[in-house]
Amino acid sequence: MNKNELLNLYKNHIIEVRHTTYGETYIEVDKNDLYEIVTEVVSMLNGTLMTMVCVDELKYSQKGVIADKKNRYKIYYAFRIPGGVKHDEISKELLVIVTGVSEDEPEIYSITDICLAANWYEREIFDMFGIYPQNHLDLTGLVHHHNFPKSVFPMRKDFIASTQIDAVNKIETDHKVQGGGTYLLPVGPIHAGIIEPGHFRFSCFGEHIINLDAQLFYTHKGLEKISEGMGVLNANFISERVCGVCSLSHSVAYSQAVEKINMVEVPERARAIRVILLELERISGHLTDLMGIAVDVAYYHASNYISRLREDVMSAAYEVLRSRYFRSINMPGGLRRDIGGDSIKKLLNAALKIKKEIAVAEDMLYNSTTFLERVETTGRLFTKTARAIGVVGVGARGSNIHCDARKAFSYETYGKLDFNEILHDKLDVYARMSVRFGEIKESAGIIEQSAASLKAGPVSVKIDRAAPFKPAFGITEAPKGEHTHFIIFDDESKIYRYHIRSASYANWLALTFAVKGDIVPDFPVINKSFNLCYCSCDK
Amino acid sequence: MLSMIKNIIMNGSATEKKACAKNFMETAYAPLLRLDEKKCAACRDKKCVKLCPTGAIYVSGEKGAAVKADHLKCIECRMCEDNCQSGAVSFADFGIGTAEFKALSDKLEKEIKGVFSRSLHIRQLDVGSCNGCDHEMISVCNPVFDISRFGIDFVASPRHADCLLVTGPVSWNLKESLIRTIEATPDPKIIVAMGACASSGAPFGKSYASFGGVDKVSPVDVFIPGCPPHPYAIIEGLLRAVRMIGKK
Repeated sequence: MNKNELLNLYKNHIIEVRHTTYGETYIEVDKNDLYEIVTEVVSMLNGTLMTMVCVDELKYSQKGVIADKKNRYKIYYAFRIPGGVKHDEISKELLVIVTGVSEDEPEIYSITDICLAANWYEREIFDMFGIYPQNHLDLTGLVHHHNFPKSVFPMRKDFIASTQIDAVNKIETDHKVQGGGTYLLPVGPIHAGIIEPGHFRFSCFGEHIINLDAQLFYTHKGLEKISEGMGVLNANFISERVCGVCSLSHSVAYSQAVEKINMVEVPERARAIRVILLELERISGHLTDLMGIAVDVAYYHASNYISRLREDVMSAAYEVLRSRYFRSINMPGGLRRDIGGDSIKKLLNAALKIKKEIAVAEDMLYNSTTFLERVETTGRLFTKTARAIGVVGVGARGSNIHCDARKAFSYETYGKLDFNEILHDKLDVYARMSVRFGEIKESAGIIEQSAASLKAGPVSVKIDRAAPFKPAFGITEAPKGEHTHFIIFDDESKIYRYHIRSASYANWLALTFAVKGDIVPDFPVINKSFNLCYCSCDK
Repeated sequence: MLSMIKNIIMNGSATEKKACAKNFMETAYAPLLRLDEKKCAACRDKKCVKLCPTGAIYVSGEKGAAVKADHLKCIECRMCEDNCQSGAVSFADFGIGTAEFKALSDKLEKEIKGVFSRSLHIRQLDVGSCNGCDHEMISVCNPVFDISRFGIDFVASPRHADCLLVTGPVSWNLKESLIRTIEATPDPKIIVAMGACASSGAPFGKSYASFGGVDKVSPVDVFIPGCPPHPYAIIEGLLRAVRMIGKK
């Protein structure tokens, strides 16, 4: 079955179909038909859930029509389905199912049983909008912790962002693990070392982990809420600060969504330079992870070597962009300023140097038996599990799944470039490490190609106003995986709804599966191998 | 093992090859954002004020008054620098000259030895940052900047720490943890707010989920501006912190 056959089959149930020029299809269905159509999309179209977004349309006044109470909330279920020109496993397109939820009866039917990836999204929507998912498997607080008042829903339009919230005096539910030789090991939220905060409860049997319960969203600072009402340019600075190491990927994802809404064609030179910088960011990000893996198994010789390589990329970036994290260069519509030929050469040389010197690091890691002992068969994530929970990025590719937004959605100039998607079938930390080594070399190749074919020309088009009430997704492949930004502007070109789904958000659940059966000391290295970041997940 | 030794000999020392800013160190707050008030033409459209996303550049008082800068709020977006016609705004540049850094590092080493008898132990505390600052802290430990040569070390527990290096605008979920970590740190202690959001809350501001700066929750001794601060700015900030504890 393909998309058109599905649309034909269900044409009596579908309220509205909207095709867009940028390859996103929106179909609006009734709340009661949703479960059936999602089942069809997952089973017959082989769709995977990319993200779920809820929009409160309380102040949605397009052409003077205020949304009725019956459809106050709209929930967008975005699925990747096989598509594109080749129609193979690699190219994807977006199918977005939209359903309305009324104000009086804020309930939806949970799709978690057919699509496990929806687990977190439904919990987040419950926390932020108070829309209750019926039949959900585990509806504990995700964003809000035990001391957050239960009747406050921050993403509703009638909630004012600056409201002060007082903690309620509620005792945390006691987690227990029962049986001889078992015990509960709580860790965090403040960890030992330079790491971000998160609370973990390991249920252990001896040294082995039998279950991991992660309480995240400690660094939740309401980015989506505070960006509402911001202009096109100012929200770009928020998008750069979703995550430090993926600043540029987030910014490009945001820019793509804005460019889609305004149907703006970004100049060729700007797109090529974006690719060069994105790939440099990938090299820097992957080197950070490889360094982390080496640190977590106490192999400091290798970690110091890799961190020196990483410093080369960052200082090259600083020299050219005056920012070590690729910030303040990208904006919706292109680049803020052109980067000259000499600067491009500097960036290219940095990449080529890494390509050459990474062989030494590979040699250090692959030829150390004590190191391999720690990473081989550690933290295995089976292909079936990974597919079910919708893992993205290196986590997916290390579990032998095609998932690379550069290939799937071929944004910027990636469609014209020649590079390989690195897959590995060992499923463990070693596999994810090998994928990273492979990708660093591929990235250097991409930079070489882009720099060689760079043509002179303008680097930006002006975007002053944004088309109102038109949703669009921006998707990029960051070092951590696929980032998805969803934006709607209001009629004053201010942000009406901004949703950020980072790669870490999609991958956190994978960690709880991957650590099962491994020992507690292996947890940090498994965590690092997925490159899970707390801030972009918590938002 | 042999290849490891070979690597060590071949690569030599990476430390301190790169340079530090001129005029950057040794100023009261080490401002990153610099506004030359003599150069400022006090133009009518005041693009720098309008375009600043965090209000780091503002007009104080009545109409036609001079533009002022609050470098703690600056997130280094450089919109002001790009749009100023008279070139009155500039940013600290870490690309030139080595003598300054050498002087700074000697001074830092000496003072740390004097105050702490050779050590300053830091506990990092993330209370909602974007992890840019945390990654710069990791950079500070790398072979190029190598902060441990000054006797500065990152420790695992606040009970071992002399200094808390706090990043992030203090999120609602972490306020309790921040207060308890500060309580767990023995006196005399220094609390350093690192980065724009820890120093002033910018650009996240005050909202239902964020308190808008570490100083809103607990007293802060030293602010390190930048988004994220350059590793040299961190080292400079720690020098100020060390002097502070000398007085305490």
